[in-house]
Amino acid sequence: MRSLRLAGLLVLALVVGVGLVLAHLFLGRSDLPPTEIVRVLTGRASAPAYEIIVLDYRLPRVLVGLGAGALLAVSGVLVQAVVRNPLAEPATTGVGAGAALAVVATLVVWPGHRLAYPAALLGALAAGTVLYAMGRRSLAVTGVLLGAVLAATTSLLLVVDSAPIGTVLRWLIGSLNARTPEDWALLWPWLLGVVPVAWLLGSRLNVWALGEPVSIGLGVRPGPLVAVVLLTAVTGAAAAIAAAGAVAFVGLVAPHVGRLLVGSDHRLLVPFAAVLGALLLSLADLVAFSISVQVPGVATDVSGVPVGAVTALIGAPVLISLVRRENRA
Amino acid sequence: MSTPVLSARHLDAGHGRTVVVDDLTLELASGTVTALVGPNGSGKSTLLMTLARVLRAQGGEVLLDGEPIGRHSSRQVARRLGVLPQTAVVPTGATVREVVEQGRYPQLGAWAMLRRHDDGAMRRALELTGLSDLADRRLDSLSGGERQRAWIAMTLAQETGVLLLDEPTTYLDVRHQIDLMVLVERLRDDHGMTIVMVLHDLNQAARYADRIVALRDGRVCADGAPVEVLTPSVLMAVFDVDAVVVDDPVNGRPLFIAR
Repeated sequence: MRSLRLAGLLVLALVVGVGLVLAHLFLGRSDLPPTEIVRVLTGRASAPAYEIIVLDYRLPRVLVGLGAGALLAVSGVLVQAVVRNPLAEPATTGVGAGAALAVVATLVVWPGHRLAYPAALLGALAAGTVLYAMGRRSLAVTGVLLGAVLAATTSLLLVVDSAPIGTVLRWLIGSLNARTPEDWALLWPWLLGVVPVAWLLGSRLNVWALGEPVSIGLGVRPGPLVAVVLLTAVTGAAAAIAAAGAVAFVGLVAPHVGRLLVGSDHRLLVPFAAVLGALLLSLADLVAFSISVQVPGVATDVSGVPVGAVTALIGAPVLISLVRRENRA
Repeated sequence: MSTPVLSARHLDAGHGRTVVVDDLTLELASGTVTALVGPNGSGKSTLLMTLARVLRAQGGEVLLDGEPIGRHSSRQVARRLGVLPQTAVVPTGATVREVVEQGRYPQLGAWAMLRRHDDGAMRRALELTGLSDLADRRLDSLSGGERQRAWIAMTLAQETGVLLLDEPTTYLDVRHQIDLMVLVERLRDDHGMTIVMVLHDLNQAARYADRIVALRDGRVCADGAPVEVLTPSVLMAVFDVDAVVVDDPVNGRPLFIAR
């Protein structure tokens, strides 16, 4: 019964995933006939331009969306597990703000986002280290305060030098517009590292979930576990933020939906949240893109509506209803 | 007497900088049931948690089978010593079986625990605590007493020789309190387990424990068989309670009644 349900969910996720990828590939700003897209996908493109549009513009966008969504969701699960607070996510623990500040600082000094990855990683790691050092006893509260300080610093930086504000704003909100194959090439190794490690931590997180005294009693030492879990969460969040910007709510909503579907067992929750996060971010991006194309006047320039605006607008009400449902259950 | 299973030598213990337990020495013999009693704040829970290495000793040492408890990895200790703290957290949506399964972690390890387990130890633990029928229920949907039994089942699934229980009868109704105490006797008699528990009910301690250790202000105030500890003078010295002690008509243990 249980495994049947899981298999059903997996098949459903696969169908939705394939549907999303196809939707991203077939829908676009330039009118490309579907037959041409099929030709490109089967390696029989009739013009190099078509190949570029599908494989270099549309494919990286959907892949980066899926990958960043998965990383944000896994980071969310890990952070929530460590602080045992279902409202935690990379964005509310200062880690996202640290990455954003570092990216903004580098953008102010060196325009162009080649340095975004190292900057986001360093910023997130620095914030994560401060979090671990300062708030071992109250990570949730320290994280919120740390995030506030870092966000204020970012704002200050933008007041001092407002030249890159357009680019920077996209980073802060989170956007998947104009992703390149290079972006995907930079992202997937992190995905391959972080998600399996998070899953391997699952059995320890199940013990940790029972509270610190119980987990010490069962032989799981808090110090090393919290350090490794935070490091993994920070790394995942940093990679996602470097690739897609500080997208809000995916790291919060995906673990919640995952818990409703498969329960709080981390051995199942980690992979399921990853899949859900990937689908959620990609779906939100499709919505963001459709608004940009369909609604006149919303996005007059090529860049379009940032996906982070959509995840926040949809994510917040969804989260409220989930929390209400959890409280009633 | 043979080597004590668990002992404290000149132990100082407490939370943070405050010292609650002060230079305490205690030896616990194998296959016995010991009750720790004392007024609120006397250091019984602190002592129990330090014996279980959940709290770090501030001074002195804890010995498990004659060796400092810190010499072995925390997981190796967890294969020999199980502990039920008062502050267990119920994960949202977790079932009884999922919580009891975590008791297998010390024996199986993080790698093996990536697979779901439902082994003999878990089934025995559920059976001993009378939870077999509730195994697939959500823990947060159960009564306080059923939850408490689930936590006890988790520590039993650990299959350790030593069991430390912090106020295990809290939340339990009379029926389940008696069941638990009978279970403790059975674990001692059938499995030779060494059990230490913090109890508030002195008559319960007198009835089911082989030995009572009474603490006050972090020091041992009285220590011995129930008849030696449950006396009017000890009750006055430890609890400031004026009491009469009579013989329990059922099994001859001391029974106290406040005056």
